Amino acid sequence: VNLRDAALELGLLLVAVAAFALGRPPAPEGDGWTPRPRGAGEARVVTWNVGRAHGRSGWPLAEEDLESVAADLLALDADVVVLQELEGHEQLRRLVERLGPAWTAFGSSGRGRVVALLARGPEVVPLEVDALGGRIVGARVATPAGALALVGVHADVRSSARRNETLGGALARLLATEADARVLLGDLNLDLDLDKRGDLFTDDEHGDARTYNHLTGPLFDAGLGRGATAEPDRRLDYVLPERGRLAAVAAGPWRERRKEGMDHDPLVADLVRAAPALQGSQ
Amino acid sequence: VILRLHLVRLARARRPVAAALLMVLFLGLMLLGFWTYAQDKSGGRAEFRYTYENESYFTGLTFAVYAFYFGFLLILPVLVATEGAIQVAGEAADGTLRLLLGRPLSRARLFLTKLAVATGFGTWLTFLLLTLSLTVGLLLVGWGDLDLYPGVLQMTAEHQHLEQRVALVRFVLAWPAASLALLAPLALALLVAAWVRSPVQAVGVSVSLYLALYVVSQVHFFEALRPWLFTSSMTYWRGLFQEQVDWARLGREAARLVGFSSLFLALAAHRFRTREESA
Repeated sequence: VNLRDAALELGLLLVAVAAFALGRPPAPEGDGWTPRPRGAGEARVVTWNVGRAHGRSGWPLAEEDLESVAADLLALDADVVVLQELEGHEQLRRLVERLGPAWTAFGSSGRGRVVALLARGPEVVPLEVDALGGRIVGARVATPAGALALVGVHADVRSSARRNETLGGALARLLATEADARVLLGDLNLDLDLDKRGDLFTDDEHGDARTYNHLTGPLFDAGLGRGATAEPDRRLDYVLPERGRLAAVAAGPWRERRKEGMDHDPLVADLVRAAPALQGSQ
Repeated sequence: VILRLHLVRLARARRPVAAALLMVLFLGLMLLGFWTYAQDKSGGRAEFRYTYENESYFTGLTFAVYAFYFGFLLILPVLVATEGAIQVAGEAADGTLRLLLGRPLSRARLFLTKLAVATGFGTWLTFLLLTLSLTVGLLLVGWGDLDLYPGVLQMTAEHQHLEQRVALVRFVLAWPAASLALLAPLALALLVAAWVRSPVQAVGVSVSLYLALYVVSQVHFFEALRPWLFTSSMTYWRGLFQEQVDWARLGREAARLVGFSSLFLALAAHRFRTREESA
């Protein structure tokens, strides 16, 4: 054996071992949101699609889960909650009864399943969003982070173009509302992580990218990098607070809260008024 | 002498000229696609009313980054893998390798010479694609800042805005970073070529392996395999086109590529040392 030749191979192997050791990825950051006490000046907002994923169109919130969902919402100690896939206004009324008299709720107009915005506190004023059509609800709410204007949406599940219309209209309405800061939240049915064969889930991947980038101009994505919110390993639920006015102290999906048949986690965001250095950070 | 001999052979083979012509053709197609796309999306005919795309988004730098991205993934690995395969299997097939081994020259030195020539060729190709993309972009599309948005190509998770001056510096840094990434498919091609004697077979197997590994690394279903594939890290240089560059992450990805390249080269060098050359 020519030692010089063998030394080359050995040297290359040693370089490989050293390089792989250097290139070892760091331990993954934990995803999701972990229950934490709220600090002063923090507002907690939540969005949760509480429907069940059975059949082509799924089912609304099961009546037997009402108690458990109410218990989770109370445990969250949230200021504002947006729920998608309630069976109707009557079910919303029953849910609010379980939450207690401190809560005020509005449901989206129209027939069928309801998107609801539930808020605590004395100053909760509904926003006129009926003209936007679809499953949209909005309110101006006094929170520890100031007077927030919030619009909750459940965007179309099948058509990217309809999602664009609904979400673009909702953003325009939100930005036209007087408030200390603004938040768009809900099940937007957008998943930008398109290496997951996005074409299986959307009729227009580029269209969804356009919609997302349009929204994240004036707003920022509080749940970015905090993990999937829905099955199968998809991020469909968003809390989008206003850039420059709000910052996210903590955000992410709250795991292990799904009831039987549900396919979404509640997405929680703890928001504060932004200092310049905190804008859009987590 | 042996290095000069290899360089002369490379030049005489006209592979550099063919590669340059291929890039010009590719950039022509990219320019046509970019122009028609920009016309559609900013000319008032867009189906989506609410969008971020407008005329100021489509600058020469946007063209350059996308042209380089596609060219880097689709053309450069094929060209360097071809070069690596021809350096060994091509010379074995036409008998020159046997002649060279008859000289008082260690096999390790010969292998390193071939590696140096192919690496230099890959670095030159990367430079050529970058400069051509920038030249075509800046002259034919126009100057401006670079804006990147989240989307299908997964270039970024958040909107990135780089002023033109900063973006040009990042392009310069992308040259060595992307050249390093090409070392892995080159080393794989040398490994394949060390095992086979037909240059056509060596090129075909090397390019097929690269494409198969690239596809597997892009499919979410194979997420667990990604850390074991060099193709998962090859576009790590995209991290340079961020407002805040994550240098630690870039360093880790570069180290992984060096690891894969060294491993392939060690195996290739071993096979090259022990293989028998027949007449």
